[in-house]
Amino acid sequence: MSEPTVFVVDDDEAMRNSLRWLIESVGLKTETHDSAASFLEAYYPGRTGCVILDVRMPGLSGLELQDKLSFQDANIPIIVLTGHGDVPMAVRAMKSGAVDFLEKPCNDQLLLDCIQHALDQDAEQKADMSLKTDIKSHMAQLTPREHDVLEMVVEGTPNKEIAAALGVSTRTVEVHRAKVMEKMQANSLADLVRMSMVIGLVHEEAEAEG
Amino acid sequence: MPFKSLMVGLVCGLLVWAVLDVIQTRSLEKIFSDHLQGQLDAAVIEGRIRFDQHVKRQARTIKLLAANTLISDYLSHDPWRGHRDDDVIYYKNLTPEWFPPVSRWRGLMQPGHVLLLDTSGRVREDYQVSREPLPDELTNIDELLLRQTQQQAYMAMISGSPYLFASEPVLGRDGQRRGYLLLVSRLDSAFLRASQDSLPTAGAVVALLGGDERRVLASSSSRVLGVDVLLDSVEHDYLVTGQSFFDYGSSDFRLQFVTLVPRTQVAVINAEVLDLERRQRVIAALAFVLAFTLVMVLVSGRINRLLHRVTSFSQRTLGLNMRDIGSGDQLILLEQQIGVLTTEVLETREAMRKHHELQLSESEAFKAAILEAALDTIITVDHNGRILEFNSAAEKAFGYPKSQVMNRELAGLIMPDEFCETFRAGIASYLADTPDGLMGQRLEVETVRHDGSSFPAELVVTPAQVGEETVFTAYVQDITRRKEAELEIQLLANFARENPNPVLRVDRDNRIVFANLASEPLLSMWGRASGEMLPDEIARIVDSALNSGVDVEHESEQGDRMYSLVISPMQEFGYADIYGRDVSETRRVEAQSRRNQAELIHVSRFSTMGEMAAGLAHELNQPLSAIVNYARGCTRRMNKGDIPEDVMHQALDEITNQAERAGEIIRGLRALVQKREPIREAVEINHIIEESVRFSEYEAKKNGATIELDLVEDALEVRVDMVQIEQVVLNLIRNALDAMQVTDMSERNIWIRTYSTSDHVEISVRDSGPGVSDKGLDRIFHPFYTEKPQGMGMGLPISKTIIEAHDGELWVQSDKEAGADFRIRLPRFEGGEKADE
Repeated sequence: MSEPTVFVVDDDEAMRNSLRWLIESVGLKTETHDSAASFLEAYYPGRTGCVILDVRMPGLSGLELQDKLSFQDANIPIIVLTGHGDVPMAVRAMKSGAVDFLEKPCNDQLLLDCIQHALDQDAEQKADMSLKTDIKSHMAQLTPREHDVLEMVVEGTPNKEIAAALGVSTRTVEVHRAKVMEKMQANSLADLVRMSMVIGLVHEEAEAEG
Repeated sequence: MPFKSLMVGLVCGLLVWAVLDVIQTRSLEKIFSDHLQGQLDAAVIEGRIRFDQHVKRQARTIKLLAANTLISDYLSHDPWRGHRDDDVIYYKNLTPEWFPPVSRWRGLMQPGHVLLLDTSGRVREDYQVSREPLPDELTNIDELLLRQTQQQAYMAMISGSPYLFASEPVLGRDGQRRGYLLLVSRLDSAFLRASQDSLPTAGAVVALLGGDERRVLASSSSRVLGVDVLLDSVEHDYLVTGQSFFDYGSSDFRLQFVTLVPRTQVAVINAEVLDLERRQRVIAALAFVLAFTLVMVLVSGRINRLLHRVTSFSQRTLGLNMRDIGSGDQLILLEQQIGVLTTEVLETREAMRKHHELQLSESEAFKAAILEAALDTIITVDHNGRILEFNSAAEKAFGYPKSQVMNRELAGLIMPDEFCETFRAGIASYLADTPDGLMGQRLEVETVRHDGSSFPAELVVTPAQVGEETVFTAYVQDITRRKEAELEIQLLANFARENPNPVLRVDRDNRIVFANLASEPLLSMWGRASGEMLPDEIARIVDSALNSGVDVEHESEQGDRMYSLVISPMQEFGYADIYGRDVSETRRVEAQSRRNQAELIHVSRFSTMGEMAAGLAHELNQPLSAIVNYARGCTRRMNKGDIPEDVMHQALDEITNQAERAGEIIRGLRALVQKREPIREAVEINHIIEESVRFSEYEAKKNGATIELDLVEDALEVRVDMVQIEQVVLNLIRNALDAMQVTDMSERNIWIRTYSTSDHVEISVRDSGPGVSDKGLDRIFHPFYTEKPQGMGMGLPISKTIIEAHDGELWVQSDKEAGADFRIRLPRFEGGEKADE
């Protein structure tokens, strides 16, 4: 995995340069952009890091940038900087998925902590993302019948009931189940359930019920 | 009228013509016949002369023939030797050898026969020229005949016919007489015709008469007058004029030469002449009639005019109503008119004379009547002041009947006590020859009526000498009305006196001749009093007004007092009126209002700034945040100890820059909010725009709007209060942002453009909002009109006030598609001087 980058997007040059000066003082790689458009040009989903965004910019605004990024499924963490007392805007930013918001002028430690936290979150997300990708690719190998069996198995349905529901013999269910385990590369039923939960096939509530 | 003249003219003309015709014809006929007779006599004489000449030509011819050498030669060699004595040689149709060629003599004569005789007078040769043979009687010519015919032509009757003879002896070469040549011509009609080449009157005849009975022997025209006709028988048909021959001495018959002119011929000529005459007379008569008629018409026209004049003259001057000129004979009418006029003039003169006499006789009574009729009161008194005359106007004025006042003393009667003595003394002193000035003077006296009431009167006393006596006439005029009018004028004058505003009148020398009460403060401001001269400043204006004759307005100011003056010159009277008005209070209120307006602008600016506070805070936040970041970054690096000095300097420079930036913003903010007197200075228009945009950038960002600038490249300057213009631009930007609240975020744009026109600079602030409603366009600059929920409606009116105070214009163009476009136009400043007020 490449070195994470802190993207500073602000139309005020002094602001950009001073942030870079501060962030680089803790040894983080920093990249500055004077507009959202310029950042989007330089960014691709694989890049790790976080974005420090001035919520008010001419052209593509911070909020619009957030929308664009989530559409690209690039869950890069965004830290929003706001002017004094611009709370409603900050709330909207958080709701749109920003990890944090800070009021200018902000405490340097707070900012750096936020950045660190965001970078961690990003790294985690990136890992999580690769797991999900694996599970999804395994699941894609299942036949429709096997997919049905998987869904019922992770919901905790006994083999007999599965057989009755599908109108096949228990023996057949067992064969399907073994194929599912094999294709999903699951060592145990608990493993299979966890995988299902990762990709959102099973919700927490369902799990609890199960 | 002209018709009548024409008729008279015609009748007169015809009468004259008829008389003339008779008389003239008669006299003409007489003249003509006399003349004709004369002419005939002349013609006869002329005919005779011609006849004589013809005859003489015959004689001359025979002489010529006789002198011819041919015949001389012929006779010289004795031609008749051997011939018998009675043997005659006849030449008929051939010419004898002794005769010269025909061409030589044919034109000279036409004889009947040319006879050649021998010396004894015996006819030897006969050259027959005419057809008639020679009469037998002539074969032997006697001595006597020869002798007679040699002298002159000779006429003789031969066998009843008249003949003409002419002879000439012929000499031989030797000069001896050898013979004779005898010319014989019958006096017939041919001879007569030949003798008369032409006759004076056509149809006239000449004839030879013979004997006492005047028988015609030959005539020029045998057709008209045959031979042997007796003259007496034709005398009633012809006019005969005759003459006897005396020269051709024949005793045996008495020849007479006559000329006959047919009477008819004469009558025709006579008639022709008369006819011609008559025609000429007719023409002459017509011309006369015409001329006469014309003259009559003209004369009658003249007479008519004269008549009219006489009539109108008599009507005008004498008041006579004369008979109008109608139809009729104008001359008679004229005579009548003049007669009437004369009578009337005489009568009128008589009447006037009588009237005058009457007037003279009534003069006295008339005077008295005038006296009575006079509207003025006239009283005559004697030297004692006792009333002699008291006219009816006096009776009416004083209420006394005349009878009651006669012989009473005037003074005590109608004059107030205090004037009685003056009056008496005046009379007395006049009589004593020491006039004291009472006489002839106009005096105003309060006179007393019979009933005790009084009235103001003007009294004039004049003396008059009547015989030995001196009388005094008093003219008394009631002047109550005049007094009232004077009072009214006085009251009118009070208008000026009591006018609450200053009213002054100055003469041409700028002296204050009148000043009403209210002008007291004005005069004290000038330090002048009524009767003194105007201050120089005002005097100059009054002079110019008096010279131009036109009203002049002027303001006179000193300290906190200010007067508006209207100087109204009265050129023809040589003075000027000054109407003043104390405008100190008005000016104070106006100044207050200006201050209030400035205050309002300031407050409005404050409010604008309040609305922009968030933006300003953000604006300030940027440099502050940057400073913090740089400072913290430095601290961290220093803690780690790995900071190169130049990098550190760089960061510190950045910090300084940002701090200065923050300071700049604060300064701008202060300037915008500061309360101060408006100043004017030359500013670049683009600078104003940039400053304004900087203040509103945050606000724009907050609204997701972009502000695009399109600024003119030249450094265009305007001379303005920069803060106020910034306020206007800010206000327009704010309005644009507000207007675009309904617009989609991504389409919120503001375009600000500066550009120049010929001598103006213009600013356009355009937005992409919905534009201004039609209703709004009319009222957008009215106070308290707003289309915003929380708007005050004061921004645009104040902006307009500010721009107009800078001699500029603020207006809006709006389009549903293109949004609103506010335009500011300001005068361009080209001075370059940084003059401050």
